[in-house]
Amino acid sequence: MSVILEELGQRVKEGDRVKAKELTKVALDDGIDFQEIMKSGLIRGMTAIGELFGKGEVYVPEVIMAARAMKESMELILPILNESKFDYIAKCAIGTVKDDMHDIGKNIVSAVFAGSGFEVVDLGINVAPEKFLEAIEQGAQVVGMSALIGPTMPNMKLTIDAIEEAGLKSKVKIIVGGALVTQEFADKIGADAFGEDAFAGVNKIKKMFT
Amino acid sequence: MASLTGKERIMAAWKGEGTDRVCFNVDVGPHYSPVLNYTPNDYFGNIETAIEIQVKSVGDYTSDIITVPQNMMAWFATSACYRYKSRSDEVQDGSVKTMKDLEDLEAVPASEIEGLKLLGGSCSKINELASDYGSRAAVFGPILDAVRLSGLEDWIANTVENPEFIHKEMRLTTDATKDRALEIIKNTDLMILVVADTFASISNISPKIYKEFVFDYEMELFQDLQKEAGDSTIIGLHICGFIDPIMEDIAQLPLDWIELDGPSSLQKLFDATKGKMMIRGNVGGEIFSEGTKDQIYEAVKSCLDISSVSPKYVLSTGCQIPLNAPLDQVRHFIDAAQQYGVRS
Repeated sequence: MSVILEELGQRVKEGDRVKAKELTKVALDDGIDFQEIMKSGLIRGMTAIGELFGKGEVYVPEVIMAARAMKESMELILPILNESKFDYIAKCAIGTVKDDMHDIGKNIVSAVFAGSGFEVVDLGINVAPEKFLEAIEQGAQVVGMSALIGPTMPNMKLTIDAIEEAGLKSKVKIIVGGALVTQEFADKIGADAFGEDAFAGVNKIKKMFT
Repeated sequence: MASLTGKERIMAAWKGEGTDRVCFNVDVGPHYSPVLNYTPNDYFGNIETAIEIQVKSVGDYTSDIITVPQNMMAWFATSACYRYKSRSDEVQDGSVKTMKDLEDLEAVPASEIEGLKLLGGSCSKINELASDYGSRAAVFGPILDAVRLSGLEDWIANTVENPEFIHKEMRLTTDATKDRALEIIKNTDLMILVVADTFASISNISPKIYKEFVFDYEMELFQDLQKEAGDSTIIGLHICGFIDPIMEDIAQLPLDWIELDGPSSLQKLFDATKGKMMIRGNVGGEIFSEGTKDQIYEAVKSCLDISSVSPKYVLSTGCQIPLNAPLDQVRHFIDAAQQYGVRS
């Protein structure tokens, strides 16, 4: 693997967005394939921080900084990706559910999914069920829902029920996550997957499409 | 042991004295609205209605503490508490991004905040109508305000990229919290004043960030509040989410009261605080909408077992009960508390 990509991964892991973006530009100028940059640079760095997060050695802020570094680097790659008619794994609509104003988890998940080869539509925060439905009608094959607090978790079921009532449940994979969300809760509300964190989530969804 | 009022029970427990039963608190105001032919929107939209609902709800769903309803927009909105020095447009959440934005910002003096005046009136009314219960209200804390002003992601990024900005912002918000809290302590007869510093939890930040950018401000804040409060007001801290990694730090704060959310360990908090503070918590709110009666009973029993080491405990939920939780679930919680919480 190239030294540039190794260093890029390290900078992403450290959350150094300025240096990560610089290195991404160098890598592109050097003619390294953008998919290789994503896989061996950006995602490698995010995976490394994800492993540390899973072990409890780093916390949400370190993951956010890494996600920001990756997101800024992806700004250089996205135009090339779109021009090349990149074969995305799937289209994901990601949002924080109705009445929930927290966006940290959603932002990390969006960055990780985007870097992993998914086309991501970020629906934002406080997303009503109708907006998720609209996203599915516009081609989303994956719906990712985040809820940080207990009082808003029931709105995940509200959204899944709405998707079911609209006859769209079989057309989409639904993944849920959040500080209080559990596998048991995800099963109970009819989600297809539970993401303990962004990295576990992306791996589960990838397996469903590959 | 003679039966005590809720207020007497809380005071006795705070002083470390034995009580007839474990203190407990469950806040069901919005959920109780339909019982009185109101909606939750009526509760949140009208203070007089909210007071009526709260007073009736604590009679029906026993609690030792009654939450004083607050006007959300007049009190909690960022624009109610902060303003620009040089312009008249309202301060929006997440809009304070640069040092220039920050330097143009000032806190609205507590004496000018409409919601604070309303709170004083609400406290008096609650104490008049529900004098047997301990009255409780919250004020937003320093990091909560700072994150509302800057947005959480940018706030976190600035702890790395622009720490001077964070310290300046925390200075502003700590002074603002102090001003509002002191106004409440001096001018109301509220029993329990809780500083809600939500984003201090490790669900949002790291222990490193807490120690470097939050702890000293909270220490200063609570030291100053305690000087004014004395024995007349119980001063507390509420942090939503997971706080296990910073419990040893929080145990050093001069607090009378700490409110613990579901994801955190009640046992660890008792170990860290060693009986110095009242602990309130920490049955997870989601169990009321997703759990069974048996699970609620188990959660109550678990909390009571752990807390049996100290009288300084209030059995409660960690945070809000989801609005779609049936009142029957709350009834199970209270029944379990009354069944297992009796002390000889």
